Amino acid sequence: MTRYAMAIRTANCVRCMGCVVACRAENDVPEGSSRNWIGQTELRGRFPHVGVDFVPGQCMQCEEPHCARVCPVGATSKDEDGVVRIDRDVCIGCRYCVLACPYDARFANHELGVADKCDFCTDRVRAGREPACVQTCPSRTRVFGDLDDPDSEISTLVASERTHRKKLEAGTEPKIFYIDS
Amino acid sequence: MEYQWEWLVVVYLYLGGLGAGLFVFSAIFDFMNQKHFEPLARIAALLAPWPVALGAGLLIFDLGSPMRFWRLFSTVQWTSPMSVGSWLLVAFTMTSGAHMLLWARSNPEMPIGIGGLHLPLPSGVRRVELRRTFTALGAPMGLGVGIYTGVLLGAVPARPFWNTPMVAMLFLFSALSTAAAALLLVSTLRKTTVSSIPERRLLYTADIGIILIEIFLIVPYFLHNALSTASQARSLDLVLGGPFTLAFWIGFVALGLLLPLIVEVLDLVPLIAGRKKASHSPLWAYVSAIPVLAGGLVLRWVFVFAGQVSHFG
Repeated sequence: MTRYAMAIRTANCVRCMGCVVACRAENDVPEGSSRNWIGQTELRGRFPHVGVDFVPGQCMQCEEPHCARVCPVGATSKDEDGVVRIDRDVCIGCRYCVLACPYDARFANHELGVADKCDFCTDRVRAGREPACVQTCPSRTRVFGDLDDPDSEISTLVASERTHRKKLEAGTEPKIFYIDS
Repeated sequence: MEYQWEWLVVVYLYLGGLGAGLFVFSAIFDFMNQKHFEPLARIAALLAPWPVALGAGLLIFDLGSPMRFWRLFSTVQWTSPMSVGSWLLVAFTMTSGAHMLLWARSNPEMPIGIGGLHLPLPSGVRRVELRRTFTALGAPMGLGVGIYTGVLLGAVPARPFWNTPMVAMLFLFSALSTAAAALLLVSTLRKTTVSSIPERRLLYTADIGIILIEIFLIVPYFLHNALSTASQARSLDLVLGGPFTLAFWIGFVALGLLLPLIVEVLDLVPLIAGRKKASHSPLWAYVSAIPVLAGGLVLRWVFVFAGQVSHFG
């Protein structure tokens, strides 16, 4: 089996926004919305020892996705490769999934009248390439791969590094792993 | 942030609850089997299908792809309150529609919907028995629709302001309260045939009971959230000093619950004591019914909008 996931080395991110631009270019995202983003933590410390982390975010490709659970027409589902996808031909645009996502990773695509979000660049990955955000990142912040392959870089990272996942208390079992620096 | 659900959803949840509540009251008044409550049961039955049908129609226009609404009825998704609720709405609309037709009779005075229509039945079919079959089928569906409007919101852990079973209960009883108020209003407006003293007593008594239940649901709603996770405790700030405070406490609690409660109690006490005549001014009925109807709308407005602002973590 394949279980695609992503690890994010927060310490590497310089918030160049390359991933956000690459995602827009790849996925034809309408103006005013984005499939990914870079947040930031509070400033910590006192000058001259000051720090801040930039924290990239996107759909967490949950193992137990609430968005799929609430969809009234079955348009959202977790596929066999572990990626949560929206069938744009089935979605009726009710936006229940947008509200059900604890990560606010979804948005209403008003041009198409359907819900929209990151799908790990399905077309690219099926063609054997990496997602656009991963390929474009100049600081090697993102690692994409298959958790079910024990030799993959992401499996090694998740096994050897200290990682955390966001909002585990929501119970959705997200598959974006943040590497603690 | 962008609100995903706005006024159309507020109005839809309101109308869905109102129609469901009207049907439930029609059933209760019918099964009380007392001749002098029959006009109320009839009016409630004639009104019940319309708000629900109108609300469901509004919802279709709220979809990003309205032409695909039929997909809701090409599948049943048991884990989706919206899917189960859509089926429930259809079942309820059809049942309450048939029920309405069976209550209707030739009456040129009847201005409501097709109230002036007399549905011919095959000989051998007893109208009252057939009608009460639909009453018995539709009443649990009506309760289901009333609950569903709250479950729709409550089933979303990502929105802590919604994520408690209290919301479904509060919406159900608010729906029943708005239905009682609508009946009080309509029966008072049409007092040539209805709004007798026993009717007003019945509606007041029902509404007082329901309002008290609502108050006793608001208290645990706050206690539950305040003592739950940090996200849920924080979500209460939206109505405790946040942007929805005035709407919730003044619009819903004070004007939608306490004012009508006081008015109804004040008006009911002399009725019980038998001191008032049937010519009593209808003003009191308006002063209690209209705030209840408005308060129910405010409740849904607060929940739909505030819930979307609340977030997890």
